[in-house]
Amino acid sequence: MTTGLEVSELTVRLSHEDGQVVLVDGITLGIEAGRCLGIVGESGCGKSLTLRSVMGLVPLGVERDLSALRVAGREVLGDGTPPPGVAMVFQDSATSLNPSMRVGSYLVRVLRRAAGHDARSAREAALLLLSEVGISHPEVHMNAFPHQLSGGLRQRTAIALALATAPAVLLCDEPTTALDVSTQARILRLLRERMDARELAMVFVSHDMGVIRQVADRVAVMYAGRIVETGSTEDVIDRPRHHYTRMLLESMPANAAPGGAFRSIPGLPPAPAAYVEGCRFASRCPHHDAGCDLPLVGLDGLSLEHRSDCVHEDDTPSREWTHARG
Amino acid sequence: MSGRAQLALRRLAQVLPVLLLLLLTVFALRAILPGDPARSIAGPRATEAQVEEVRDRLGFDEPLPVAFASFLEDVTQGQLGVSNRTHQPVAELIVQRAPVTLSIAIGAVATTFLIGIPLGWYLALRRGRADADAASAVLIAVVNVPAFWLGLMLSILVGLRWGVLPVGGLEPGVTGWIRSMILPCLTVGLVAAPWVARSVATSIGGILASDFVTTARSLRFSGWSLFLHHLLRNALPPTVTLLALQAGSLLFGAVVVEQVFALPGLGSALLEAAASRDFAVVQGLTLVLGAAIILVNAAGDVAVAVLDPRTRWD
Amino acid sequence: MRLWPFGVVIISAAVAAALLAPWLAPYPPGEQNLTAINQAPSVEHWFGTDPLGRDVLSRMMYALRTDLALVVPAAGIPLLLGGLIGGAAAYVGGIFDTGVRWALDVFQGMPAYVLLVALVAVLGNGASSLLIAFTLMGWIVYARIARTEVRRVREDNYVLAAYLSGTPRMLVFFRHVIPNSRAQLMAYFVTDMGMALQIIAGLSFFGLGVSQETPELGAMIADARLYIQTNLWLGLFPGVALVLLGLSMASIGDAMRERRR
Repeated sequence: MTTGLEVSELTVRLSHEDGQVVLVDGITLGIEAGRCLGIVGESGCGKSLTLRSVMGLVPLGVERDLSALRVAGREVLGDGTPPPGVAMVFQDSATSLNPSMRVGSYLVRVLRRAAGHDARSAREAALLLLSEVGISHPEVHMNAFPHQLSGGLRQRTAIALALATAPAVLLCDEPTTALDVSTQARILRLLRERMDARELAMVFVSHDMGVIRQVADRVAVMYAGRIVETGSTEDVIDRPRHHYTRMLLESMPANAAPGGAFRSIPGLPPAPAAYVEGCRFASRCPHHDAGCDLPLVGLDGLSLEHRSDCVHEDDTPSREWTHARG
Repeated sequence: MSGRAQLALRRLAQVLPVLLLLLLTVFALRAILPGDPARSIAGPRATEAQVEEVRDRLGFDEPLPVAFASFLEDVTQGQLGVSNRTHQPVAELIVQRAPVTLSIAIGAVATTFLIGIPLGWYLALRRGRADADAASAVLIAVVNVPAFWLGLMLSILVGLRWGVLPVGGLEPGVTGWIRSMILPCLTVGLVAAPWVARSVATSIGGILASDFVTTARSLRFSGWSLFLHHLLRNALPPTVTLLALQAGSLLFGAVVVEQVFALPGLGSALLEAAASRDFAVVQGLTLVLGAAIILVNAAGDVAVAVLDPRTRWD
Repeated sequence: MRLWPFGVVIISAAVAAALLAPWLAPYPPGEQNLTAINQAPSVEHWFGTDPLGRDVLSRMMYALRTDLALVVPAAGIPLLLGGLIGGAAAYVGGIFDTGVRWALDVFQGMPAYVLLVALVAVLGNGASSLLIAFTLMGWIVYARIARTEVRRVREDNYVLAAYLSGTPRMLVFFRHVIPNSRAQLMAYFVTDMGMALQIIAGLSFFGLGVSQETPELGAMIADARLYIQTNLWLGLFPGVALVLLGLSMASIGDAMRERRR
């Protein structure tokens, strides 16, 4: 199996008048071609920012720093512009498509720039792409402006645009959050299908464990700018090791005990300026003790397949390992 | 196509009540004339017979609706009365003086946007940096400079001190015409450009931060093609709206500077007539200038609707 | 950038200079001194003298009296009239509101500046014609703001609570609705005073303002026109005063609008 995307030690900082805050704290992630990595966590923990940073699309005043960025094994860490072979689908298709450009001319323009088509072959390729994303009347669709389309059709258009650049890696930033449940399911199926057909490496960000379970092969749980647990989807969901993951799973309506209310996690994630060296979830964690406040070194090395930085696992030597160098 | 035509028609239909109100207001002006209105209209040196003639022609003895009807009839036939000073028909005066006002208005619009739009882009693209902040502070101050005073100061500096441009009256010939227009247009342009720059900066700033520009960047649009297809295209409708909104006050700006630079246009005619209580001229010019402003605003609205794809389907 | 504190200082200074002109002005505004005409600024005459040897600073202080005394009612009367019409329309609703809304749409399309000139021209020079013209053209914006604000406030809980506790409708309007919809109107009032100042000065510059003998900033600039080539100061000081006053009122108005957002 070949590697699709590898991101090493990504740090994102926001500079302001009084100094800097670290928004994303040296995370490393990767996914093979033909597989999907789900990144899950509450709002404001840096998931979307991680994707945007990989894409080189950080907002004004934000800077990124990473030690390696490889697409299909090739180093593409360039000048901070979108790396070759990577495309992205955004959350809200109502605002993420140019309102004054017809779908067709947008697609044709992207195809001509990215794949070197001439005008005629670009048009044919555009029609093909539109039917590939499940649009039934591509000729009609080509003449539409985004505001004339439904949310589902708009998101399919956005996916077609991303695929038009012939990517090896597809980054999805909550692409189904703005959609109703049945459209959401269809778009997830479409993404999964395209991933298989094109051997894409996919990174899928969502705050919704249910969506992640449907689409992802591996999961990275993010909290307060760090990855706190990672493993195969099955392992993480069935045998969570971090208290945060556990509570996140318990807060899903589907997991509520029959007859009982589901339990939301009390409190809010900390603001980036209040990030500490120790476990950042400790302040909301019912199991927290003095050990949690010691500086963390990173995910444990117990099992490469399923790692966590929670210090509360009596059956693993993670605590000793973690703090041996701290 | 028919959608657009419908839209244009609908907007023009909205103009009709406004035009009617303008006609009513201009007609009603005579009702607030102090003293004997017929005498005021006939002018201070009119004979008793001339006053009677005016009273009869304008229907002062008739009921108001009848008088308004004959006023409407006169207006539609282009009969706007006669100046009580020069005895020139007002319609003739307007035809004679319109070219100057038109040149200043067009020149002022061009100047305003030639200064305002690039400045707005500059402010938006360099937002948050010291030079752009300083520039916007200066702009806020410039907005509050009265046009007549700026015209006066410019005429002293450029016209009289340096002696490069005419500061009063029209020079003969085409070049002379253009030279005479430079300072008036610059005056209006300098005062109006900060408004334009500020709103252009706001709309460009919004577009730069928008999701669709981020998407375009992720699709490898950059530089010129990003600018042309994603920024400029979406910045156009708000800019044209602005042009339409500013057109009225720019036309009024033209009125003001004509008088400062002693140019024979509609505005100076209005102000001269106002100062000398030449009622028919005031009435005729108010009607023509007012209608022009109303129509320009409506035309701007239609242009925006045509430019912005989102309005076509609503 | 926060300009409004400077605005407050400038406006306070202007108001003080205007109110205290009879005591503060170094010379009577009309006093001619033909031995000292067209002088540049000096210790005796801070802002110089005009072609009749009158002290420019003293005349400016009296001009401020004229202008400020005109500007407050020129914006204030439309504020009261428009605020009442727009506020009542929104509060009462129904056919009255529909009518007012339609009227506002039509009136808003009217070329206000041109009509202002025409009205002053027909009514003749003087403070009262200026005020009539400003009222006729100015109430529209106030009515629009008042209508929007009252519609917003009308739905607020404390207004509903006042009804439910049996307070008469009129009393609720004056006790709860008006105080809470005032802020945006007052912000525009301040901005509008700045615009009115510029228009009044402009009209006076063209001989359409207050009577010729009254000292007024625009009229002073007009008087300076013939001599400005030799004596730039004459037009400079009144003009700078106009710019500063306009800027101050605009920045205070902006600050008031922002604060309530």
